[in-house]
Amino acid sequence: MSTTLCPSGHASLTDDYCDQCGARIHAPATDPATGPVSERVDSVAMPTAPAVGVPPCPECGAARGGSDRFCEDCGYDFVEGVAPAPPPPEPGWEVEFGPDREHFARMAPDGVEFPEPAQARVLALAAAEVRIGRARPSDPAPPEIDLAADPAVSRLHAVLVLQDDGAYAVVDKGSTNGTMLNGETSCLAAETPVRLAAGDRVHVGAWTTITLRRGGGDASPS
Amino acid sequence: MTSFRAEAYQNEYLPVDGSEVNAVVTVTAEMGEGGPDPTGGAAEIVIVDMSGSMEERAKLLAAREATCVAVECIRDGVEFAVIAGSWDARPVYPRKGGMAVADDVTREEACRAVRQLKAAGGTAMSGWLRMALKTFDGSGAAIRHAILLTDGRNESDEPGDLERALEECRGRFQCDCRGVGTDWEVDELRRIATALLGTVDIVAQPEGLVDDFRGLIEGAMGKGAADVSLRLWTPLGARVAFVRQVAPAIEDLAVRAKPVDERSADYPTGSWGSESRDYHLCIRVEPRGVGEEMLAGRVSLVVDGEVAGQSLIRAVWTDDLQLSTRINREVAHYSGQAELAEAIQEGLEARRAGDEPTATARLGRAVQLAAESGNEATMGLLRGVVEVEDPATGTVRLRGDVADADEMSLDTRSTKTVRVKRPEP
Repeated sequence: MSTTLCPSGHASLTDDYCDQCGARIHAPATDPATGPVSERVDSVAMPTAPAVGVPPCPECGAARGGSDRFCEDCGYDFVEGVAPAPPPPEPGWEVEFGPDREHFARMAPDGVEFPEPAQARVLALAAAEVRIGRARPSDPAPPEIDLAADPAVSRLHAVLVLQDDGAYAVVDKGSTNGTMLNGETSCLAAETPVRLAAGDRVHVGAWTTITLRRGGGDASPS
Repeated sequence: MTSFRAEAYQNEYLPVDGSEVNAVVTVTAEMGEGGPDPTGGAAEIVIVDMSGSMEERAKLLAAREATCVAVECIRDGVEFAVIAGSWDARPVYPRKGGMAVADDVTREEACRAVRQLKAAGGTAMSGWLRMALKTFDGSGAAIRHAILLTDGRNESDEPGDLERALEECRGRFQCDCRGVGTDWEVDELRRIATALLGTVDIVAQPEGLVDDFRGLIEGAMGKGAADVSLRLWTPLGARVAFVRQVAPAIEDLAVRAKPVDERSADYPTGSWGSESRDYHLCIRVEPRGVGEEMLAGRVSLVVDGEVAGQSLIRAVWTDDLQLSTRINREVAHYSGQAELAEAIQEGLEARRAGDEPTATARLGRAVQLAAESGNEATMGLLRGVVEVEDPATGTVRLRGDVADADEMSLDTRSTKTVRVKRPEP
C-alpha cells in the first residue's frame, strides 16, 4: 500500500487529508476555502462557490455563480443588464437595552446596587456585527452597545451578527458572567451563535437586558 | 444490492481558538431493482407475553389477534416462529421449536396455534430473549427481527439477569418492543429496545395493535442490508463528544461504539431498507491557526464489512465572524429536537417527583421548541399533559387530571423528531 507524506511528516494511507492529524495533503478540484469538496460519494454542504473567472454582479458586487441569469444577492439580470426593482423597504432591526429588575433579581449579585433611575436606550442595528461590551475611557473603538455602567459585563461580552437571511444571532464571546436568553437561567455556550427573533431578550451583566425588535412604524423608507 | 450515500451538513468555519466541530450527516440507502433480497434471507420471531396479567379477556384477545396479524404480514420464504413468554419461554409455532418457512399453510397453522394461547404465570423477559436468540441461531438468515409484546413489568427475573441476556443478544438480532395498557415500565422496554436497536412504543388501546404490528413487520421485511455501521475516523488529539441519530428518532450511538483502530470506531445501526436517517456528530479538536484547515472527521458506512460511502467533516479556522457565526440549519434544527426530548424527560420526571415549578418550566420549554420546529406530533402529546396558553413563549399550566396512557405516550414518543426542512434542490 502506498503512503503519502502530510505537511507534518506523517505517512498517510489516504491522500486527501492525513489519516493521522487530518491536515490537508492534496487540494481537491476546487479551492478548499470556498469551493465544495466532492469526491466519489462525498458531498459536503458548503456556501455557493463563486465561479472562477466570472465578473461579480455590477449592481451589488456579489460573486456570480457560473451561468446564473440572476444575481443571487440582489436579483440583477445579467442577460438583460437590468437592475432589480428595489425591494419594499422593511423596517430594520433595533435593540432597546437598559437595566432590568427581573434579570437583576435572578442574578442577585453581591454588593451591586440596581441603578436608579433605570433608563433604557434604543439603538438601530446598522452593522453586520454589533458588539456588546464595556468600553474603557480611552477605547479607540468602543463597543456599539456600550454597557460601561454594568459592572458584571465583560469588555467584549457578546456580539450580534447578521445572518445570511437577514436575522441576527447572538454569540457569547467567552464572557465572565455569561449570556442568557428570555428569562432562562442557563448560559449560552461560548462562541456558539443562537438565532434571535423579534422580541427575544438577551441578558448580560448584573442587570442589563437587550431586547431585539423591528424598528417602529415610523421607520421612513430610504 | 443496496447503495448508500452520506452527505455532511455543517458550518466548517470555526472562530479563533474554536475547538468544537458540529455536523449533521444524512445517510440515504436505496435498494436496487427487485426490492429486498438480502443475502441469506430474513427471519422473524414474534414474542408474545402470556403471563397471568394477560388473562384479562380483551387484552388476551387483542394480543392473540395482533400476533396473527404479524404472522400474516410475513412474506413467503421468510423463516419465522412464535414464542410465548411467562416464567420461561415456550415455542408456540413451530410447536417443537425451530423455525418454519412462511407460506399459506404454515401461516394458517401458526395462527391456529396462537388462537389457543392461554395466559398464566410471571414475567421473566431474559428467558424470552434467550429463547429467541437460540431460535435465530438455528437459522442462517442475515436479517433477524423480533417483536416483543408485553403488558407488564419484568418482575420475575433475578436482578441483573435481563442485562446479561441483553448483552448476549446484542448485535445478534433486532427487537422492537410494544407495551399494552399502562402497567409496564417505559424505561425497562426502552432499555431492551435500545440494546437491540429497536423502537419502543405504547399501544394504549388494544385495538391499535393490529396496524402497528403490520407496520413493524412490513418495515422489517423491507430491509435490504442486514448489518450496517457508521464508521467515524477522527484525527490525533480529537475527542468524540457525541454521536447520535437524530432522525427519525433520537438515539445515542456512543454507547454502542466499537473501536476499530486508534483513530476509528464503528457505531452499529442495524438493518436498512430504502430510507434515510440523520446523525448529529460533535467532535472536539485541537485548535489550529487562522486560515488553517483540518479534517475533523471522516464518516463512512460499513455494510457487511465493506465500506460503502463516505463524507467529510472539516474544520477551517477564521477570524471572520460573519463566517464562523453562520448558523447551520441542520445542526441548529437537530440541537433543538434533542433539547425538546430532554425537556420532556426532565419535565415528566419533575412532575412525578411532585416538583411543579420545574415540571411547568421544562414542559413549557418543550412546548416552545415543539412549536418552533413544527413538531406537531409531539405538540399533540404535550397537550395531553399541559394546557398551552402561549406556545411562542412556552407559557403552560400542568393538567391536574392526566391519564396514565397520555403520560406514557409522551414519554415513549418524546424522542421522535421531525426532519429538517430543506429547500427543494
